Amino acid sequence: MRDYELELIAALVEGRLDDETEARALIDSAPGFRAEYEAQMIAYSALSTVGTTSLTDSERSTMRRDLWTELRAPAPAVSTPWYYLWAPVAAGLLVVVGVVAVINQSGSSDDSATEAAEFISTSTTAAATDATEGGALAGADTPDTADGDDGASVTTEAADEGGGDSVTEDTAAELSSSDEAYYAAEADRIREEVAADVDQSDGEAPRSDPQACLDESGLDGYSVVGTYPAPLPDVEGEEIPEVASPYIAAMPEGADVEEAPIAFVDLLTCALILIDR
Amino acid sequence: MTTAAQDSELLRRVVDGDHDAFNEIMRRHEDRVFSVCLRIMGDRDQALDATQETFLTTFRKAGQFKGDSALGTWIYRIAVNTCYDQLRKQKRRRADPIPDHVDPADFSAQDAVDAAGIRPEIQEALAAIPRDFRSAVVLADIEGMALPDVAEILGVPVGTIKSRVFRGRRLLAKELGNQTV
Repeated sequence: MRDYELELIAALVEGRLDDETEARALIDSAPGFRAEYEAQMIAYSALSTVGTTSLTDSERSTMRRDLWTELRAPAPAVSTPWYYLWAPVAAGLLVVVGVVAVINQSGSSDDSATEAAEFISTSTTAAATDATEGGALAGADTPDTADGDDGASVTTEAADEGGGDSVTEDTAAELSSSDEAYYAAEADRIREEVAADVDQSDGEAPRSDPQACLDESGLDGYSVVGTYPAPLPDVEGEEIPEVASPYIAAMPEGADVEEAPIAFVDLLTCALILIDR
Repeated sequence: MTTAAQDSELLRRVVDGDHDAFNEIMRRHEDRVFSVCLRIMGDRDQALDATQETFLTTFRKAGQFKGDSALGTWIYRIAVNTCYDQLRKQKRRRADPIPDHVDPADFSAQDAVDAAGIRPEIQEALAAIPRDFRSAVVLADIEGMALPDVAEILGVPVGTIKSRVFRGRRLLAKELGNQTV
């Protein structure tokens, strides 16, 4: 079903058409269109019966009281255990000990001794830097939620005007912000549809074996969710990615569908585009 | 002064420490925020928690509001993301079911329906469809927001919202149909 046809059915359902002739003809032209129209009408009619709801006076006053109580409460002190700050240094020292032990056991040439010295220097410097940054973070602002679990970092993202609640990482190529936004939205859609058992076959793959392409991209432990054609421009001027290739979407095998990272791989080059987490 | 200008002025006063200004912001938006949270969460107590958390975040982040969008749009985005956070924390646990039998003489059962403000079968169907589709149909079809506003709240293009609303309705119809089987 093409986008224009879906748009026409939606407009008919919502009563937005001045002239319904074309839409009615579309619905009458095939059982599939009629079935889609009837499903849309069932849902739209049901939702239109849902009235507005308001807070009761008691709920309103209780909520405001609790809110101001929390806003006026002193911020809890952030206590960082000493071992949290110095764990990176300890890890670095362990690496040094391990390298020295290996050198002593294997006997050292000038080259291996030089490499070991450089590696020890790098590891110790990195560990000291981590300890310094850990100290700086301990003195930073208190998170908004007091329970300290994963909800804290997610909640502080809630007010970010720049995007929704998923953060893209592992970008293999230079992508524009609109590209990243496109793939982030696609990842959310795929998670929801896979969880709802919506079929992800969407067009023919130019390669006979998408899994092989996925393996070629270097992603271990991922399996193909679906293959998708290159995005088409939306008639209303929606931004589309500059990447114009069809792509594979994949997720780690056995992962929790609704929170799994989604990897996008170019189906023509088998290069990783990005992983949305 | 337009509503948008009034909201911006109120938020500026909040940043300056004016609590009365924040109370006014709450008065203007709390019912609708609560309604959105209730439809997404499907449980009144959870929706109250989400509403309170939304305004806590709004207060704490008031200084970060850039004014690129309407204040209401910004607050509703916070509300939706707060609901998503809480749903994740609950590990996708569903709300307690509303009693199937609603006897007009059984006030406790009727109260349960009133508590959710929605027919049980519709709330159950909404709870069964994926979160992103649910948010789209709640904002567009129940709250009556324009699609560009919904797109801004959810942080996705308008075309994506159209698709989510369409697919959401389709899934909702399927759920409602399954309930009658």
